[in-house]
Amino acid sequence: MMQPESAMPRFAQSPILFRWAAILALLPATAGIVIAIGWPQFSEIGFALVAGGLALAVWLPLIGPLRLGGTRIADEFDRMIQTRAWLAGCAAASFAAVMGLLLLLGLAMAGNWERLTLLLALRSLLSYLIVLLSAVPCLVITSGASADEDD
Amino acid sequence: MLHNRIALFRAERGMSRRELAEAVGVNPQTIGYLERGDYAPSLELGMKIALVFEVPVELVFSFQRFEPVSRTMMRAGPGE
Repeated sequence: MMQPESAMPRFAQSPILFRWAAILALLPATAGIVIAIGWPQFSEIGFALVAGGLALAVWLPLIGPLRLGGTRIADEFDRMIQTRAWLAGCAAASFAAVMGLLLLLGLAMAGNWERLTLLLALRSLLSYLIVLLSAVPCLVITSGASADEDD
Repeated sequence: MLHNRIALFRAERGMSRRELAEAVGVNPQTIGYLERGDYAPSLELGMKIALVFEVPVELVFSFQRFEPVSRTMMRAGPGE
């Protein structure tokens, strides 16, 4: 029987590269969203950091281990791991969306923010959510990957 | 937890993980995960593995821990 092409060997061969790419996307973006929401006067600096993470993160679904079209005939274990990774990404983004919106609402009301300030913070939050959706699945799937030695 | 004797049957037949993986249509890594008990296979994969070893599926997979081979051999006695 033909050996199926799968994501597993591909990312098992170079998981560290994609793991670090995901971490390098998440770290500045997380720092950026904290700055953008916590210190609205520095919202541009915060957004720049989020955008930097976003610029890296958007490539992960295209060239990373979970790239579209690259895992059509993966085996059942691959599909289970991929599903778990995407669910982790969705859960992280959903949690960040709810918490971010509540936080923005509270801070905007407490600080009597101007509309533009709120819009800039929302811009950073939306970009951060895309970073989470793109980078977290890659981070999850490469964290558990290991190349098994055949015996 | 689902226990299995894949490694035992594989060793008995002199099969590598890659050979078994090719026979059942999965990646060798998946066989490794199965053998370590990190992943419970689908019914289809479990039956395919049993078919490769030409034994009933309950000889390969069990919800109870399998008896060690040494104990089975001792019980069977010499010459068996």
